[in-house]
Amino acid sequence: MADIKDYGELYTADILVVGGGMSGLVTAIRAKENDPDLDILVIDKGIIGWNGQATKAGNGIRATSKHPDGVKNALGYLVHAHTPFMNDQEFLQRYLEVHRDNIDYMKHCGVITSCNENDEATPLPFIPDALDMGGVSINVCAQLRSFALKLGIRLLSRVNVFELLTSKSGKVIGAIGFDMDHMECKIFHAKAVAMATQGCHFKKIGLEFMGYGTGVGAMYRVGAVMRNVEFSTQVDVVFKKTNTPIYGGFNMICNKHGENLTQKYIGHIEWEVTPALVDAMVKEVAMGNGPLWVNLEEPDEVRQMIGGTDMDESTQRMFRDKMAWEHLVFRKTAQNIGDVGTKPETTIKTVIQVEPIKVDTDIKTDVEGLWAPGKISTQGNAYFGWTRGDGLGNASTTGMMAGDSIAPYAAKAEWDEINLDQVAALKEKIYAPLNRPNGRKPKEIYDMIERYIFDVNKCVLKSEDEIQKVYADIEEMKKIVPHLTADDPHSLAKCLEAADTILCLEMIFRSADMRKETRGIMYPHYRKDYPETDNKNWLKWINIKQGDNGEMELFTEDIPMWRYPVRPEGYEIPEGHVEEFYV
Amino acid sequence: MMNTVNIKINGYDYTMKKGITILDASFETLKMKREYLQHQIPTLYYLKGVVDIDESGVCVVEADGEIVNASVTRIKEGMVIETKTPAVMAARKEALAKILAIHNKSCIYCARSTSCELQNLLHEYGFTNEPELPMSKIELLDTSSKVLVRDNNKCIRCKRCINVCAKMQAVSAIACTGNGLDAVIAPSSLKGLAAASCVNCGQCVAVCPVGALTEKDQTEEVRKALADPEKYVVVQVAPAVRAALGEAFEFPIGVDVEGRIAEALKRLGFDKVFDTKFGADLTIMEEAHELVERIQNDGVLPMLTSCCPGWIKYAEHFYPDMLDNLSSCKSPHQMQGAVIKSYVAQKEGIAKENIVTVSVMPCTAKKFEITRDDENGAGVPDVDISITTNELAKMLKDAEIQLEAMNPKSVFDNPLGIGTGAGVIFGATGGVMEAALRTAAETISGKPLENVDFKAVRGMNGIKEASVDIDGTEIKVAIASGLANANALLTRIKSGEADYQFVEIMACPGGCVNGGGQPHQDAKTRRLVDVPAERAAALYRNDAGSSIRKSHENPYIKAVYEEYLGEPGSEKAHELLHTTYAAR
Amino acid sequence: MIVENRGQQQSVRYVVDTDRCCGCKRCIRRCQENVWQWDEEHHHAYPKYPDECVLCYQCEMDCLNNVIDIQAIATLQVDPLEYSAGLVKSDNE
Repeated sequence: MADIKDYGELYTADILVVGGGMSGLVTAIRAKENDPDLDILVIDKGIIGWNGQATKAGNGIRATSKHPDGVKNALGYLVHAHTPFMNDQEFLQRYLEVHRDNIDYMKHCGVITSCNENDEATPLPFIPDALDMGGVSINVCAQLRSFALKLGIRLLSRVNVFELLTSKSGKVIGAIGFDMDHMECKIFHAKAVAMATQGCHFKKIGLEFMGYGTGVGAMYRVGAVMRNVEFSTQVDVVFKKTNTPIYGGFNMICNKHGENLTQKYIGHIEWEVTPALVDAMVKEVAMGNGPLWVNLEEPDEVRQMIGGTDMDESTQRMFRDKMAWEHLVFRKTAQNIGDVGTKPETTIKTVIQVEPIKVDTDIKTDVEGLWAPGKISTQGNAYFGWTRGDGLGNASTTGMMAGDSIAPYAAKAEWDEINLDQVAALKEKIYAPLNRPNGRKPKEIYDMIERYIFDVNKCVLKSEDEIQKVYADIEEMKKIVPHLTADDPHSLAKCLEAADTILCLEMIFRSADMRKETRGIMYPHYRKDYPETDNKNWLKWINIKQGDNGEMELFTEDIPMWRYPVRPEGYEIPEGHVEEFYV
Repeated sequence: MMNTVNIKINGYDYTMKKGITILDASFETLKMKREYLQHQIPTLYYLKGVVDIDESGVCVVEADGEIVNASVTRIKEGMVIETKTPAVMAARKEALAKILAIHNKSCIYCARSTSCELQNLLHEYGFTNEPELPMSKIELLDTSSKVLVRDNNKCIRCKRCINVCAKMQAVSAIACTGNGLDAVIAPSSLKGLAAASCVNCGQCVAVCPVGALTEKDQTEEVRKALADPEKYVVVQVAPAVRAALGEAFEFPIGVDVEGRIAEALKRLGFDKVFDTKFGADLTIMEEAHELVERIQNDGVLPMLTSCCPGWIKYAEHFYPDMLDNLSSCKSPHQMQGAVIKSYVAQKEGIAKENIVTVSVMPCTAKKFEITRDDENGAGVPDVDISITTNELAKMLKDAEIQLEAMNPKSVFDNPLGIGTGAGVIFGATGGVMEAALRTAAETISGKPLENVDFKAVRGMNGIKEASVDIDGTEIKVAIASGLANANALLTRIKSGEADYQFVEIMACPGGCVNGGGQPHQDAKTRRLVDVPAERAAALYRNDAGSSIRKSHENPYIKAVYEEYLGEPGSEKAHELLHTTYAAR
Repeated sequence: MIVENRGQQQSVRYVVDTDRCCGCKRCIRRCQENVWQWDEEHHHAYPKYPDECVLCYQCEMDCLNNVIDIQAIATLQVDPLEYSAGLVKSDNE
């Protein structure tokens, strides 16, 4: 009889949390607080407490206002904010209710948060009584780690997981991967699994963090449903010299004759970088009116509000550790690349994110035993319209929601047996790229994908023709995958990641192909050949799952507007449905 | 008269207590919630209760326009303090550069690297492109001691070790001549630390800001034993270790990692992983029996505890006339070692010569204790190798075992893996007393004890006294931790001022939780957090959560007596579990 | 030790004084992208996979002995606007 230990080191725990960033740690903490008898194991490919996006990126955190109408106000704002009406409003409602305790819960977990003199978060000025804002230390994960250890949660660092294990009935019961130092196979057996792995980001740019979509891929292969993948592109206006964002500077772009692009093409100021502006920028450059530049000496109101440079230590959001880091970055950039000056040349930077796992109001996926807290489900839970700057709030709130529902589930669940044949097959698959003769390198694939970031016509302003070209590229990339070769843990991980990144890319373009309309401001979906928003035919979600034959399967689902409080103007309940929203 | 003064630090207003130093004021600001109100002043020599005046030159600020030493200058009404002006920063950098000139900078080979206070300051002050300063002179290491290693090439002349040895421990094994960075720090005996009256308590190691004082590293010996297929390697872990080992893995202070240690040690490859809690319970059986015997048969009183090897050596040096007062019981890990090499050897069918017992202790003096005479109950040494908490942390890190990933619910091996709540509190000052009282009370009264918490003997005070009424018999007890406190207490006992039946003495202030082999905490942490108290609290929580809280109710203790030892104080028990002392 | 990478979007030079590495491994701990590895033979950390660097400077900031100096030597090699406007000749990389 074969034994599981023949395949690798076995770890068992009641709950396995994959990903030790902010949302993973909050999920584990919340679950442990719900039920201290549970044995909870958190694993991460880096070192837990110092890894994850929260330890580097933004330091703002929000919470729903404690005003009696806070949830209602925030909901009204968020449904319109970024990708109008694509939200799951029932999810959003529940989310915003939990979100209200967000900052308080962080304080309870020992996270140092900055608030005003009365230790309260302050309301966001531009949406009255909807959202409050505070700041958290850049060491938030280290602080959560301390709290988790106090509670008796287990944290295993430097293990990279690539596949999920399932029981006979299809329930997720574990994961398999290897450790990043010695490439030893590690097998995890659990009653419930939370994948807090963040999504896939097709970029590798200063200060932007890379995700490779391995979590998305693993969940796709066990049958999780993806949603809203077409809304995946975000554009920033950046300094050409340093490739860092000019916060709030997008209404101030001029061509070489000094004509303002916003005035020339759009006619009113915007609060986000819109596809129309990107289109205008490309047109101007094509006409020979480049280089484009921004006059920082005369900031407009958007620049003053978003790009305010008056942050000092007493400004409530700023922490000393974050400031020290920013100072270092600015100093080094100026030293090595040079100062950008006050009339810098500008260009754009595209960020493509795939975070599409569909979850219900408990952050549970469509697969039994599988949860997806944190960034990985921001499109799928239809809450990709988080207010800009609340990635941390999303991480902790979804973590809280997941923890609340995964704990009672795991307490009641039975142990399902691991299928050794499955383990053997997955192990073989994971280690397959090792030392293939005459192999190719994953960098080839990443270089190809990276080029989409330069190509506005593929990633921002999509059209039938361009999508067809991408399909051809994807086929080519897929042909490389079976020849990828690795010789150490790092390159092995890269090979496996490359395959999942291609999968995410395919999802974007397949669903973008399907959605024949244009919608959204931030994370927009823009079709040159269908430039209008079509609320009549496209109040629909596009869902993706792996079909029975292994092929990608897309299907639409009507958004149940008849159950939702916030509806487009002139909306009529379609035939076959009745009003289901009651105040 | 107002008791407060108003001052300004870096532009922010504060109202502070009158008469405190600028450094004290800065520590007060560090307790504030909003980060921008916190102003830290670096220190290098200063350590709460040990070195008050920081002469390193880094503890400077600008007060009313003048550069002053923050640990000396007291605040006054209207004082304007700046902690980060260019002049202040330049002065600090200059001071650091001078200290660097006498400091051996080979961090990679230094045991204190990453928890070194000098290293952290250099990081903060960005010593990037400083030219490698040559050492002004090179001295030989003092390796004469079985326990401690002194490396004067790393010494930065803070004099913490001298102060802790003289003031807190009343030993004065290290002394100093000369001033400033030219000062010569040396043992009181020219032949090295071994020849001095050093009691090996290791408090100097615990306070040293750099790696100038360390315990003698014996991890290699453990590794060799583990690699030897002939050897049956058994490990035991002291109570106080579980309250502090986590700190080496960046756990918060005061987290009990008992189960996690058990699993980690199994992963290191030990054949059996035992808990010294068991030995502690055994000690209580013997010691409580001895106490009751002495009380009932007019024996020498007060009886003094003998668990602490630092205290034992101190008594042999400084109180040779009171050796009869010492309990003849061995310390818990020696008792456990003796039981491993006799009872367990017999039970498991392994020749005692092939057993290697390793003990993980919060203590440096245990390294000396295992080499004492009459510590070989079964004819072979009770304990072969004793390593400290710090050394275990190093072994785990070298083996890439993540303590964080271990299961807190893992358990030790039996038969010596179960201990009681009484055993675990041995790690805190007053714990031995409390554990003994729990058993003695039931022995004397013959009735089950209702409230097992003797709160009067708990707490971090250096000297504690209590009077306990047991079934009409009044027992007067006292507890001292820190040898200077012990010295004061014993002076009173000798002069007849005080009259006790039972006295617990621990060499380290706060007990074993604050032992010399525990992870280092820097001056700022020691000032803001009562580290020994936090660790002790973890042990008391462990005790409160234990299902068995009295030593004599430990089922495996009962089994050992039934199957092997007979009863407490039996001849067999004396042969294995008791020892003798000699004046030095 | 000097290590460089050249990419489409950024080029980074690592200047690391490996002789003074204190072995704290904070760079390894902080790096999200697994750039840093430990050299068992020579007892120091080094940037084994500089291609993955996202220029967050956290390793430099955390390095206990201040031996890491990261220099961004060039950023964008291709301007997305020019590329999309068809002004850049199609890439053979």
